[in-house]
Amino acid sequence: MTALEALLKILGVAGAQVQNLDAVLAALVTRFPDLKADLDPIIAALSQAVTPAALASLGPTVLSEALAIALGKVNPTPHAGDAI
Amino acid sequence: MLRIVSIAVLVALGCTFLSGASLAAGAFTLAAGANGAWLQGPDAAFPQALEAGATASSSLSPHISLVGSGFYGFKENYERYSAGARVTATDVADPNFNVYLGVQYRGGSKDSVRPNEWAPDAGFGWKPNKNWPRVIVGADAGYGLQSNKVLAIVALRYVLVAK
Repeated sequence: MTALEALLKILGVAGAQVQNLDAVLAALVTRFPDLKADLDPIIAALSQAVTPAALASLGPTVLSEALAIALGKVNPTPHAGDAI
Repeated sequence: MLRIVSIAVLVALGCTFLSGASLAAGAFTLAAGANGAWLQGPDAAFPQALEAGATASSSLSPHISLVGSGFYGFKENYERYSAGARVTATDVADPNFNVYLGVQYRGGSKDSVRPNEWAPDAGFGWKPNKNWPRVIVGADAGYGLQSNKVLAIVALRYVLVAK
């Protein structure tokens, strides 16, 4: 198994958890209907992020960045999700 | 609670050590917050719980971040921790919203939050109001490879340190 194949397998298992997230967010919308307008775009973004095509394009990028990090080249970028 | 704080500090120090270069450029975050947590799966000991604790993270590249957290669960009086890496799967230029995929090593003080195991996860973070740049909401779901349990959280964070 190549590094890319291993990475894509991990991303695939992680991506499958979006289904569980969708269920949680759907439960929130049911309980708090006012949140629907805010949560619908998030649910759509979750689904789009884990399509096979999206994961396939993400893999080489991540490997390239991991190699750069290993060589001591960091390029930090703030993400809201890092605090979750 | 002291142990939780200690774990959070250790995680923060670990992230700092591992990514010291990134501190100068500015993507280290220490945040406090609360979770609504749901554990689903075989022999899940609690259907839901309220948690309080802290997270620490450090971005190393546009897509890759190291993360860690420690939380106290009020219903079962457990302590839960996790540490791992995440990959941003949406536009990395948007600091206010991202979807991520990752893998974390998670564990805890009681059987209800054990075993200690690896757990691939997915989630998102969102800054809902530009007037409150330190407030982040989000959600995460992780699948324990050993226990086959899914831990899902809905999270509220207040960023204490962002360098």
